[in-house]
Amino acid sequence: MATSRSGRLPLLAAIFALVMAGCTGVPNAPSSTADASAAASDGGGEITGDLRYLVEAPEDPAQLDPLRAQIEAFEAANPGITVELEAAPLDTLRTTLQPQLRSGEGPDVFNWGSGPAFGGAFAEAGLLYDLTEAYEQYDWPVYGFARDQVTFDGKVMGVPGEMETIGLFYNVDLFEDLGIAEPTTLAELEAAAEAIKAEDIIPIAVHDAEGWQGGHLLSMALSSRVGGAGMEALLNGEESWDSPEVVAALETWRSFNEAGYLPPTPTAVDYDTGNSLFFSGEAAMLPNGSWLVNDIPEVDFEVGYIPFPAEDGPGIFTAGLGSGPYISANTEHPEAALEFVNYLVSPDFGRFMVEELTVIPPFPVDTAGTDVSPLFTQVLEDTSSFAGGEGEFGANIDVRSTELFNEAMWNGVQGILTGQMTSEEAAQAMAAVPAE
Amino acid sequence: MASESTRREQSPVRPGDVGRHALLIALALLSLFPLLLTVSTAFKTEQDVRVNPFGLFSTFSFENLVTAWTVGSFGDYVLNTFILSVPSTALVVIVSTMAGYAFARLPFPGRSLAFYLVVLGLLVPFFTYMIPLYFQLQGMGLLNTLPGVILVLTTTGLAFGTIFMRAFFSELPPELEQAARIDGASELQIFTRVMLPLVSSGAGALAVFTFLQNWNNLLVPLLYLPGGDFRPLTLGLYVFLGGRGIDIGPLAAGTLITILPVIALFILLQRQVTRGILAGAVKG
Amino acid sequence: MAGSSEALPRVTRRAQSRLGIALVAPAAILVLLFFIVPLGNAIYFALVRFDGVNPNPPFVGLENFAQMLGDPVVWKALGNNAIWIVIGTAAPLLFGLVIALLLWNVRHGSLWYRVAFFIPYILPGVAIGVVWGWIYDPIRGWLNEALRLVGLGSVATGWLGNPDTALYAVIATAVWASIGFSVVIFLAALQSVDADLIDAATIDGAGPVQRTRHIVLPQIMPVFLMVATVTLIGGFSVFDIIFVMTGGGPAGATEVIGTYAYSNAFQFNRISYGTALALLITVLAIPFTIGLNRLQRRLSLYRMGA
Repeated sequence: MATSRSGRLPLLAAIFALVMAGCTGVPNAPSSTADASAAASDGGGEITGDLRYLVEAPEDPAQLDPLRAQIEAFEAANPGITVELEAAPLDTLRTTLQPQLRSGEGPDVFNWGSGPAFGGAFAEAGLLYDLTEAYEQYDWPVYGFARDQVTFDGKVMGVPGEMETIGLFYNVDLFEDLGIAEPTTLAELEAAAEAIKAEDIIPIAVHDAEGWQGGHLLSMALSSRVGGAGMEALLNGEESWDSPEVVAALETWRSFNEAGYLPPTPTAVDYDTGNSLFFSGEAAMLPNGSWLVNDIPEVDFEVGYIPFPAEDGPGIFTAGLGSGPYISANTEHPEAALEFVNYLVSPDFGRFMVEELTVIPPFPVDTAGTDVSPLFTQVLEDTSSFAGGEGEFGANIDVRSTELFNEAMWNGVQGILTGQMTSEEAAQAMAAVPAE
Repeated sequence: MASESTRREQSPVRPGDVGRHALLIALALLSLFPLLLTVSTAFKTEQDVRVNPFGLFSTFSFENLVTAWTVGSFGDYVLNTFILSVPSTALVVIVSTMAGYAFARLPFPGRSLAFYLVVLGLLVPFFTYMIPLYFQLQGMGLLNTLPGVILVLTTTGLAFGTIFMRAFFSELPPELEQAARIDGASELQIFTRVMLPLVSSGAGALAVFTFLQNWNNLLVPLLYLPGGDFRPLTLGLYVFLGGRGIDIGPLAAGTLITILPVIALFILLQRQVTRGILAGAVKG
Repeated sequence: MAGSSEALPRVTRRAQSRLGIALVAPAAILVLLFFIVPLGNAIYFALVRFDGVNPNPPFVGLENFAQMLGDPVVWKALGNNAIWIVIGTAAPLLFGLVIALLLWNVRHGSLWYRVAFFIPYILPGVAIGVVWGWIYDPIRGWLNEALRLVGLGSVATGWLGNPDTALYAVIATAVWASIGFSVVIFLAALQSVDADLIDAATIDGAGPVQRTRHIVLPQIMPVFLMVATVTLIGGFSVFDIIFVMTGGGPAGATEVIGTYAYSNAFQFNRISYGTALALLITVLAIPFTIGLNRLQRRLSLYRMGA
């Protein structure tokens, strides 16, 4: 799996890291501030500056190569600007990026998560360059819902990250063999799980050893239960996290576990093992996200991707954003940094994201003629209808919440899967986290 | 010879030699099993790892090692580990030997206070001050730098090193320095020409022991090398482990690359290592 | 030594003093800069509310410590530390002693046995965590396979993901890694056990267990206590292996003060709270260290006197 992922890009890696790390902050593409050397010769029309762009380090450094090639293309088109690409592991970025930016030694441009726990915290600390004017000046076509996720106090502070959905992957061939139809209600999902279990196959390869997966499990069950508007109400604090719907969504997973639909001790099953259970055919379904699509190895069965079902219907996909570029408030070359960000929002770069990184940019891309897998095409269509505001989507909770809340949520889901907590207790623990 | 056989008689546990060896071999295998598992998994083929990840020695291939070394950057990590461990080990040995000599044989004002401060390092766990040290290094511009990490690694080894070397110097008879002094040697010459050569075996044991400690250190590079430059093997392995898309095969190979030098060093220099550990235990 | 230096001429003493200061200076500067100063800062951090950003954090006195009292995770973590200390100290002592007695005066292959038992002790914690993760793997792990093989398949579980077993599974790993340490030390101590006493006891008809208990153990008691001190102190500050193997999960089931301090400081930006937690464990550990040390010293003196 690792090898199939190599050659993909750092953005993707960043998403993964984000996801892995509990979606706290995925710094992908920051740039750094400035060695101000070349700044002076700026008098005329040409913009100059040496930029540092910081992204999250992929596991395989070679994964940065395609991005580096893009940057070279940008440098060729803008002879006055150089961009030095840097990468650091997510975990260290989480602890060090903020102090770096504050000290003025940070990058000029950097990738960081969208949402209040990420960009919002930085904006509050005064570390981000206000892009409100730039959006008007350059007319960046970023989707409105996504722009909202990087808008704090009425100011647009960054470019949102790529779009992701979360749902259930399933083994289409196995379902056909067993004569089970694609589940379109919660009851059908349970019936399917029961039938699969009877065949001695693990129905749903839930993996929660790392803990962050709990946010996704809750997000998908809850989104389908309360709908997009209901998720917004919860995330905006209009609805409490110990509401009966939240308890019911948690209860769904608890009862699945109790009924034996999940692997034994799902909290001991890590991300990799969960995926390999599914790919090896030992499990029939896999809760995961759209990023998995370009990570599916050669398997001898067809893979389907559906939303987690609702009680009365097929349910909705959970959607969220990865991390995207911000400009440091301390940059010495704001104009050069803006030019660079402008490139990162260009149609060319968007197509690069789709084709090379297999991720979905937060702005429209003409995908005609791109060579991608059918499953990715489906994901593309799903997310673009989300972006266009046509379809209804749920929300991935962790990218929209604070770290403390996420911790309570992840602990809560692990707690109910291990019997350490009841669903009510887990919900109350989430509700008890002070909003910040 | 005779004494050897009588001593053997003394053993309070005598289940008979065959039984004893059988038991010992079983226990030794248990002790080494995780190591066997690592070696076996590291040398499997990719296909075999997927189907039968933990079956022992079912296939043989170098592909995991190649993957870990190149794609997994473990080649770089090995180099980085040396870049971090060698200077900090050398510094610990040099600085501790100097201080150990002074504490053992040279009266100077403030000696006991200085000694207590150094010894305090054995009493206070590193994680007590690791958090403020992070911000301090940042303020000093040493965060994410090679000198910063080397100096921190050095300091964490100094308390033990100083006490260890002090013990060696204390054992040397005072007549040695008196004789040298009568021959007209300066105090510095007494240290460098007379005393130093006599503690070389102790310094050697300290070097091996410290090198192992530095090689194995995860927290210091994890905290103070956030930028990902100079990432050593332990941190590389941790990051590798954190990357969820990683196959078990290359992970096992990376683990093997991380522990192989440690084991080789131990087997080659067993006496020194054991001596360091023994002294380390007595330190309190 | 002090006596001999008294007799030295003043010039010599001055030269010694100068050299002494010069030789200690590098160590003193490093210790001051990278140990004493951060240690002082730790105390300062614990008394303010520092978020890693504000250079002038507000002074809050003992608020961070008061907060611990009401924090259920702290109590859970302290309990886990206590379990760790008890089992993590007792088990290596016991197994180490048994193995050392077995190895005592073994003539053939003694060196190789020692290497085999000692290797786990010198391995880096990350590597240990990786490999034991495979042994405990819920799906294909060796432990479950072995249990099934001997008909105990019903006991099989996801060892690190099951809150009832996770802590003990990590402790077992730590015990495995530290047995070699006590074996080597006990073996060294056994070399000096008085042979005549044992011969006499054998003649009196004492069995192996009796001889061990009444003759061998008392003689190696100081070393026994020393090993106990070292492992016990380690139990207070345990961090690496839990950090690598479970990160404190599932749902905090393996959280200890060390991991909780780390995640507070480096994940939740509650730097002062994390520092205060780390201080707490230090303050708890020091009396044990000193007490055990005294006991050990008294026993050694007693033995020397006798």
